Amino acid sequence: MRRSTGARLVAVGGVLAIAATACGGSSTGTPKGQASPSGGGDKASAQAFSLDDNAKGPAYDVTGHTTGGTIHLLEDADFSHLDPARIYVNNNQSVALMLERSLTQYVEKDGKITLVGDLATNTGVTKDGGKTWTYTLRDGTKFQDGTPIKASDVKYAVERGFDAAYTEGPTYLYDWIAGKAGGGDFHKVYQGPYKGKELPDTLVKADDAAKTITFTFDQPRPDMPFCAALGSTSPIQKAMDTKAKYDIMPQSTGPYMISAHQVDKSMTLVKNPNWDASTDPVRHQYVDGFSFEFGSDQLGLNKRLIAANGDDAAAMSLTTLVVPEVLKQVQTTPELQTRTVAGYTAFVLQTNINNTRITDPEIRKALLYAWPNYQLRQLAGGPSSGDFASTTLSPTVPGYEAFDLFDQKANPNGQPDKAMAILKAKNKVGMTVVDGYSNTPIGQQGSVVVKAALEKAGFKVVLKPIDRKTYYDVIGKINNQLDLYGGGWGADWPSGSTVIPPTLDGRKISDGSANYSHYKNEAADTEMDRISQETDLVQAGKDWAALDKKIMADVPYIPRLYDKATQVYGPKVGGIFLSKVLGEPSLNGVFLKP
Amino acid sequence: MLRFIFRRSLSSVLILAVVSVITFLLFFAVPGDPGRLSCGKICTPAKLAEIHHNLGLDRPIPVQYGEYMKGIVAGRDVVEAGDKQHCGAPCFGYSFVNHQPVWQTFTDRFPATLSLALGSALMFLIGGVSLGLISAIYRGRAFDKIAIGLSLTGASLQIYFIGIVARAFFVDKLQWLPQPGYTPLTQDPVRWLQGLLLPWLVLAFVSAALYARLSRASMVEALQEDFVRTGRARGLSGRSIYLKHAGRAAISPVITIFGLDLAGLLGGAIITETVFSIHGVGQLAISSVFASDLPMIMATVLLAAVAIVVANLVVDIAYAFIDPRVRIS
Repeated sequence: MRRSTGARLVAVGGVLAIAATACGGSSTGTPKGQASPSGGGDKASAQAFSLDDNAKGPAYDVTGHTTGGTIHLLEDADFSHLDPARIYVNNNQSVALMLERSLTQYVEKDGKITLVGDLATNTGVTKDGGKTWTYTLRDGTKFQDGTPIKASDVKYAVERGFDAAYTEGPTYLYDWIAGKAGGGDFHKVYQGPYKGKELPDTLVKADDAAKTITFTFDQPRPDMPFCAALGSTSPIQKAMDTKAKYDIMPQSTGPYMISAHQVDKSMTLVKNPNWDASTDPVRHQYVDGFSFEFGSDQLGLNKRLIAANGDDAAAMSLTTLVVPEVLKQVQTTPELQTRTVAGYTAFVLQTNINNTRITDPEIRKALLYAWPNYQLRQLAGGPSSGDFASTTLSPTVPGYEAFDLFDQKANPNGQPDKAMAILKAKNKVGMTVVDGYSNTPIGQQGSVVVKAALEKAGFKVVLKPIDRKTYYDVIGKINNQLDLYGGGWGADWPSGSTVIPPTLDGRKISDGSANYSHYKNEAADTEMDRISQETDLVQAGKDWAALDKKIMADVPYIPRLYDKATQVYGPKVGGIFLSKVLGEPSLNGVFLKP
Repeated sequence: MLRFIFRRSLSSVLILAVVSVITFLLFFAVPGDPGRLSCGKICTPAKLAEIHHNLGLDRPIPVQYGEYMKGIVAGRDVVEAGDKQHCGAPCFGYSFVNHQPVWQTFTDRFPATLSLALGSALMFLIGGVSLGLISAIYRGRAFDKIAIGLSLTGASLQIYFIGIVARAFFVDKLQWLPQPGYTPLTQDPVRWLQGLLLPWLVLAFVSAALYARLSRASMVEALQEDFVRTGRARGLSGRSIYLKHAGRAAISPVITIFGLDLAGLLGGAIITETVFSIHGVGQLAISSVFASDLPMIMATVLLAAVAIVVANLVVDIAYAFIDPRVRIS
């Protein structure tokens, strides 16, 4: 997934900076707050994950829940997208969880994640090792207007995602359906339903009588149960497809529906009378509705959440992180500690090393040893902004293994002696490296820290500021003329398959690719292909972690932080937890305390 | 007079045309790619090119400019998310960010800015000018010193400071007022007033000083004029001299400044709107700049320019009515 615009984190020149990036939006420059013990500040440990193919509605009862009332959501900006085909950012996904059901979905309970069938009766059935996947829809599911959900509505939604106009969402499913025939561009195989054609049954077959939808891929896609949890499989009624306007007012299939949406100002969710709890093993419908207010600055929202006057006592936020201005107050006020939620997001922040310019893994290791991780984290907001990282996978990914090949966690200030020893052995003392950083106040401060630390270890550093708005365009060029540049990545679903192949597959190095470090290792590529075909998803999790360890020995980049989020909420909000899947507070199961 | 208005209107159109060209060119000159907003997580050059095509950004800049301006005058067809729609005049296009018609968003936001601007302008005009005129009459006395000292304090403080302090004090701590913000007057007049009272007062407090000082200086000068002495010699009452004769002469420079100030506020009080979470034109302008939202930037800049140009015209006309000396010359 991607993080919401206001809170998106980008490690820039080794420094955390909030930047308008690929996912756009305004820059607010907000390092994040202190992790709170009450929020269960996670310790890096393997993620408890399982699949349950027998889950049935209704969802488990949240302890102590009440019913009724309205929860107020204070957000700095409106949701960039609500059309399921266009949703990628995590705050959009959070609200979509209440509005749009997909074929599968995650149940989060007591810190454990279980993937279950959502609209479908299970997480998918495959009889040929993952090439063909069949989903059977549950009985009794309806759109908000009372129309029963058909398999062909799911197919239509998938077809719609092929249209060239919808560029924002994840493209996994479309790429898989197109397969090799697409040659990397799924539009070559199909251009969407508005051009008058349907996807052939040989690729996606909907049988409304049998209530089944079958996806046929040209190679095994064992991750389909995860992929089916994305918006790509949320059904859309053809007759209700308002195209561009659907993004503002989508038809609901979940427990809530939109009753009013004033773009960039407010949105109101009310109960969807046509949602039946007995068909849904994931969602709750405790409160009468949610009232969203958009467009305030993060500091102002923090103050309101802290003051909690009037309606704000029942307020929370998906994206408003604790900002430095109120950090101390939150840390030192016991009452606020009781209403703070904190935990890991899916993001790992790293400093990319340009592997095409620095080809020797030993030199990359020297850079890692020299890196001033501690000072950079202090600039970014201290321990609350994240835990020191030593892997490419986040602790939120099932199978994650907490190895630390270069003792990074024990030496957050770096190990300049070791770096210097490598440079001396390689006769490279005084070697010049170019550090690209986002030209923001925090980026500038960080660049000074980086220069001092690397020069202490024997490098000569040339600093290169990059405009914040074009940062990703610049570093995304293969010939970027840089050696070091920050970045971050979050899994699209809880598996290494959406971290390692996109960011470390040597065959994907191209302009705009997410392999920003240009890491290339044929053995690793082969192993990626093998694990990608692994049908035992739990075993695949372990295999990804093992591959992570092998890759890290080459030091493709410098892992820096396991990103964390900390937020304050109103004292009347109950049942709130930080979703490990979405990396922000979940709306599912919240209630008003009496 | 009519000829004067016609001539000024023509030059106004020319000014607006120049502003529009400069804004358009500046947008393409500064870094930032609006296509990035819609490009997803892995943004390949091919995908970016596709989005540029969707947004119409792959065509020559003069063509884009021509089409944009044509839309404002005559309307045009716009393709939004693959859906061709007619966008009637004045068509400012569709936002690159929220994908809504820009004109609709603008007209939606404008009442908030209008409420903020008119309310605070009324306060700082009446408050500032009254203070200034009375200070001039009581020149050198305690009232004069206190009033001018107070207004100077206001002018020295910035909205982003006094606004946040006032909000923390009156809203969060004392809870005398609800959270500031804009509620349409037609929807709930009481809430409208409550939500805007603090922004009005703060904006008026920091702006009134200029008016107090300006009107005080003009009044002091006017009171020394020959016609005032003549009036006094003819036995006119103090009230008549102050209000009808000296006051009228003193107010002219104030009107000029007020016209421009009000127009500036109508174009969006960016800081005040941000501090008090008022979803007005100013907030819209600043967010569209950050998001490289060309159609929205064009609309906010052009319409703010219209406000300034029209205000200038109105001020010039008003001048003639208020100050008989202008009419004679």
